[in-house]
Amino acid sequence: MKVEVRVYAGLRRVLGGKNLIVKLEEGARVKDLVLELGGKFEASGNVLLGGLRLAEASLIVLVNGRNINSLNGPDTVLREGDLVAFMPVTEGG
Amino acid sequence: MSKNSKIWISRDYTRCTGCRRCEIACTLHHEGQIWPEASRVRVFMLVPGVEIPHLCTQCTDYPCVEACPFEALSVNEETSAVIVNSEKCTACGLCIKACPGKIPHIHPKENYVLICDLCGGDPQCAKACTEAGYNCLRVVEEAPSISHNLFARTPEELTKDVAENLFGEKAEELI
Amino acid sequence: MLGGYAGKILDIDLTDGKITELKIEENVLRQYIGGRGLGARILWDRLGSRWEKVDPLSPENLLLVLTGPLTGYFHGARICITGKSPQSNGIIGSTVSGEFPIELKCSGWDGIIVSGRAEKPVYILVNDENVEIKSAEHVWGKTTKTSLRMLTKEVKEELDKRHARLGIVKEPAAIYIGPAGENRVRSAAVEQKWSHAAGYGGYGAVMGSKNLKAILAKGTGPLPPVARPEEVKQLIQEYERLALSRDRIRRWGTGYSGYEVGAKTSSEPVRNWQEEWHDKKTIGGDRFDLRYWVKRYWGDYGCAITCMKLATVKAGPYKGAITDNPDYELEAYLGPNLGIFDAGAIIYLSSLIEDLGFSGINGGNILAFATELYQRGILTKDDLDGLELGWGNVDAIAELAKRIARRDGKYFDILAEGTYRAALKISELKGVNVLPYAVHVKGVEVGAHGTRSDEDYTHDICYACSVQGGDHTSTVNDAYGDMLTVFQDSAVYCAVIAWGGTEGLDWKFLRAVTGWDITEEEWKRELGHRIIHIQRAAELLGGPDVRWKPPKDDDNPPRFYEPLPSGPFKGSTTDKEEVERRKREYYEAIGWDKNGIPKPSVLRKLGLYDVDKDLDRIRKP
Repeated sequence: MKVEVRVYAGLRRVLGGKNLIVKLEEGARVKDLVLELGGKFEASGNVLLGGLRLAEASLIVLVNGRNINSLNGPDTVLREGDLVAFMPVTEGG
Repeated sequence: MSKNSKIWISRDYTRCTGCRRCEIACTLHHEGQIWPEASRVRVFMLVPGVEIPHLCTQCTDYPCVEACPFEALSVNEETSAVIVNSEKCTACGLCIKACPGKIPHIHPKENYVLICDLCGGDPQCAKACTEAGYNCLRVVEEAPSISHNLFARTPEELTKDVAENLFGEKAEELI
Repeated sequence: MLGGYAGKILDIDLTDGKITELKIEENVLRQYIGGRGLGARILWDRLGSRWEKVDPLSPENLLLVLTGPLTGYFHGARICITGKSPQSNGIIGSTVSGEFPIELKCSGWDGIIVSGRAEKPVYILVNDENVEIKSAEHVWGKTTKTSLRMLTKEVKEELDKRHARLGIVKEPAAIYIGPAGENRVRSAAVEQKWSHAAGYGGYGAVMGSKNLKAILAKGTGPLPPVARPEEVKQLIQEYERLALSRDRIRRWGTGYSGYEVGAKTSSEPVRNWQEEWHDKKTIGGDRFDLRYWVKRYWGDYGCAITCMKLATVKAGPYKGAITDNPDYELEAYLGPNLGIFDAGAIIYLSSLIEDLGFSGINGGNILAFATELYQRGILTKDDLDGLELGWGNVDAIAELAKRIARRDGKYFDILAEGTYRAALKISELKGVNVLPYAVHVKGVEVGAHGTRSDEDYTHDICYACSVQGGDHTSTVNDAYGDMLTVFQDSAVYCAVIAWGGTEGLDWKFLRAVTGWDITEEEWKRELGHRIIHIQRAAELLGGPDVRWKPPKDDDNPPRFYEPLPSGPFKGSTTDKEEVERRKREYYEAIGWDKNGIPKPSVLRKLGLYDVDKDLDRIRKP
């Protein structure tokens, strides 16, 4: 199945694009998508994508606009046509 | 630090960040809760940015102890700190008058005076300050050779000096 | 016995001088916590049924000054100022750091509500159970630094007399306004210490409209007891460990962002946001550090991060200027956004803005807006009574700020109304549409983080769908994660600790302090939502002069759709389609209908029957 991935801000350099179409196995979870994109989950729940250390800036992962923490976390199951967004937490001062 | 050496808290007021964690550490230790006005070290801020932790300097001649008519104050020979006997103290205020820096103050609720006791040899305020890297309050093992009395000054006096250090000529109109 | 709360709020009517004690029911506190949340609830209880008729600058409006259960325990100390906002006509929770909340809680009060209007300028003094309303006529019209000094001195002298036998009395803490607030300038801030400001919301103007110059407090009691004291002590240790590990923010404050944001992420406003990139003239913390910072670690009660700095200019044309940091926002808004690239000048303007009692962000935005209109020949030297504005012209800009603060002339009076309202008025007077140059969202000038490059704040709805408009500290995303800022503003503590994650510490503190069993999930799915819906209702009902009509008004400023003209992200801009798509997603997630109005079913499920009924006034049949 295919899911659409939107990537925001600094991650675009890492993932090589803003909008990606990624092919996944049926029943794949967000965790699998992240691995497919070359990343991994840390124990704290943060995501590491590519060589970019994102531990300081927590990353938000949305599936169809819903934060995965309000769904099933990294184990959230993805479906055909789902829109997954990776965006940074805004920190301002 | 050897247990039997006298300690002193050196104070570098220009380094005070105003975090007041000394007050928090002091009152958690002595009162069991966060209680700014019951702290033996109180951070004055007569001018923002010019925070002054005000605490006992263990004057070499202990004028406060001398002044007490009820023998409520004594000196701990081990630590050199002033010890308050809260049963004997009547909160008469004579020790405050005698202190060159007017440092002691009466507990906001109880009827006895508060004077830093150096936490029996392990000052919590200095610990909090140095742990954070500010080093405004720092425990030094040997007491300086000059009279501690020189360090006992009122918050107003200290504020004037530090303000001029930080702001130069502008300090006059800020105080 | 509720942990973390003093258990009562001061309720003061300045019209008749009546002072009463207000106790909030525990079930209300459990839902709304304190600060922004509790403020929204109280505002709706008292004013919701006729919200759109209440003029924020009238005696009818309320000023709420509220702590939260975490204030004083989970450090750094902050207090939340709220009411009906003269900027958005909604409810904005605006926080400011300092010792005032500690003095208030140690006095035995969780907060203060002020209604009505005093006949002459006054200040309120809270000293434990004693509360007095005193004359402030002698400080009305004076700058913030002078007013603070005079009031602090006179109250300290009074307390020294009152408590003579106790020894030297410590000085009181204060919140106060400057001339801008006194003159009801809509971007006026409420300040603490020096330079610390509750800038968003325009609550300085609310205080000014009540003839309230300041509130001073001195408390001699302990902080209220907590539910599980041993656990709280442990958590404080954990907080310290976390705070002390944040090297970069401790050393540089938010000011380090300057160069990164201008040159790298290309999201720093330049000349009223006409550009968002600058390179050669870097304005980062490095420019201020060696020459101007006299204190590199400066913080508020209990804080172990102490990211603030104290800056002063000791030589040159700006000698004598004093300000905090400046933090990134003011570095940008009083720097590149005004075409100024000199650190000393930025400190000077920052110092002046604070002395006048302006918000650096909102006030700075208006200065740039006026300067752009001048650049375009829409505002002339005649209009400005001989003032010749120009990018980088520090003296002219300083003069502009002073005249706006005092509403000293026709166009200064108009500009004092804020960028949006000034744009409406000037468009009308000049016969040319200047709204495209107004960088605001719902009347609130936008924080110095642009979205066009999409390298910093995201491209889409972060400001557009926020109930606090352009407030960059309360942006939206997914109606779940963004509930964190609502919590920080309601439990009231400093958010800086959260940058980099808190490992769930905030929630542990909440439970250990109050004894309630509130989880992060409950907050993000339910409790936070209640507060957002009340704020949304306030925003939509608005009035009496303007109200916002989504989905059209849930949008970015027009300028955020102009392609960036320069820099590494030249050509990049906000994608309108993306905004619309994310908007629909957000409405779905937060429970608003296609017109952006909270759905009846959602409100009723949360028990917000009154809000639902009030929203019928704007729902189409």
